[in-house]
Amino acid sequence: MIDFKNIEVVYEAYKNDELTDVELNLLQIALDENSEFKKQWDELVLLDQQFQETPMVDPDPSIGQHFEQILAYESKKQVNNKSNQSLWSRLAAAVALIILGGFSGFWLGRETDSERYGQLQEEMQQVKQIIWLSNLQQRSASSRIMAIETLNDQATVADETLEALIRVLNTDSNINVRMTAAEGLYRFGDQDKVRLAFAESLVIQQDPALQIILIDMLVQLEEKSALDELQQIVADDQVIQQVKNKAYEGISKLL
Amino acid sequence: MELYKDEEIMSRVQSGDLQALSVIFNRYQVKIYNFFYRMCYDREVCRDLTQNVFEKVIRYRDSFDVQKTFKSWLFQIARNLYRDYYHANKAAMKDIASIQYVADNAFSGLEKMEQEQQHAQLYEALNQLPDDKRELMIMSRLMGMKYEEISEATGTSVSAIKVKMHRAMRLLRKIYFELD
Repeated sequence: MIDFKNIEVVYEAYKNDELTDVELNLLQIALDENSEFKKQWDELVLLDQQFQETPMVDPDPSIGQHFEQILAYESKKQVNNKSNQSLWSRLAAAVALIILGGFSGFWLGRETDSERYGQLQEEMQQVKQIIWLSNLQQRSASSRIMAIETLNDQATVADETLEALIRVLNTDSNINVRMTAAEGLYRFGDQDKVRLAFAESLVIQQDPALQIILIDMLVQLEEKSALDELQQIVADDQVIQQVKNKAYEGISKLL
Repeated sequence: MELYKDEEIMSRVQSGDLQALSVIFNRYQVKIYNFFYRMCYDREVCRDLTQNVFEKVIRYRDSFDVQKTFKSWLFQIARNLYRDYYHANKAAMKDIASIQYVADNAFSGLEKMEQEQQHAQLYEALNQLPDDKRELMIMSRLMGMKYEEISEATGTSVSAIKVKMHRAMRLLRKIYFELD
């Protein structure tokens, strides 16, 4: 039975046709016999009437013009995308070949004495990194998980460590290791590199549980740049519906 | 096309008929503009935010789930944009509670003085509500959204929306009749 002491509850229920026959009768009695109830009821009715009678403010006409321009642009893009797809693929491959060829020539002629000393210093840093990385490549998944969890006590980590975690996230054969890598990276979610990695990993991962975790993390981190990857998930026929639903939800929250 | 439901139109849009979005725009442009207007009373900001809403509808058209309610999705975009704008520009924004209602173009012409007075009183009362209650009243009473649609747009349960509405109505009524 509805609480007649709470007039707003009764009013809303009445407006939404949610009152039973008994409650409707009680409402009529209250309106007929309780002057205070009637007064408050009439106040609510008046407020509603005023809301309904309020005319809308006219929007700026430039909004419509802007919309038409965006729509025209997007329509043209849609047509161009279809016809240029094969052309861009060929162009991209050609550019990649040119760039790769250029870099090979650049590095081969660069070694001098001062650069060798700099390289030695760099190698020492790399040795330390290699030791930690070797732990990440332990045979057992639990050892790899433990290696990742050693980062839990660190407030900051080197870029190379983050990159190693990202590689684990994307390439480790064990789902639990990949999930632990995601959790480890999430602690450093204030870094652009991490957020970008989550977005990119989303379309690489095949495991639905991890996809859902990544979507949740991206939403928590409010990473709007992940919208394109989320759209890809939604459009991918290979992705299961639960993950798509999560992606829809994520898009709605980030938009 | 004008008789199609929003979700049917979006389905056509997702199939490639971009021009169908014009129907959506014509249906919702005024409502979205007025939603922002009643939140911030700044026409330039309202114009920009309204443009942004429809830009996002165009750009992310494929991410709308046609099984859901389009109106809720649209207002979710609007809410998110307003929230982002508010957080970025809090210091520079008008103090809504202190805005004296001035009859704008919507009330010109044949509106009676008494009716204008009542509308002024309504909006002054509305402006004194906390942001979350004001937003809820705008969505429910001015935008005509059902509780289920508000629930989808805000990510809050229907029962929680109902409780918030009751409290908002009670507070609005109290403020309005104290202004009398």
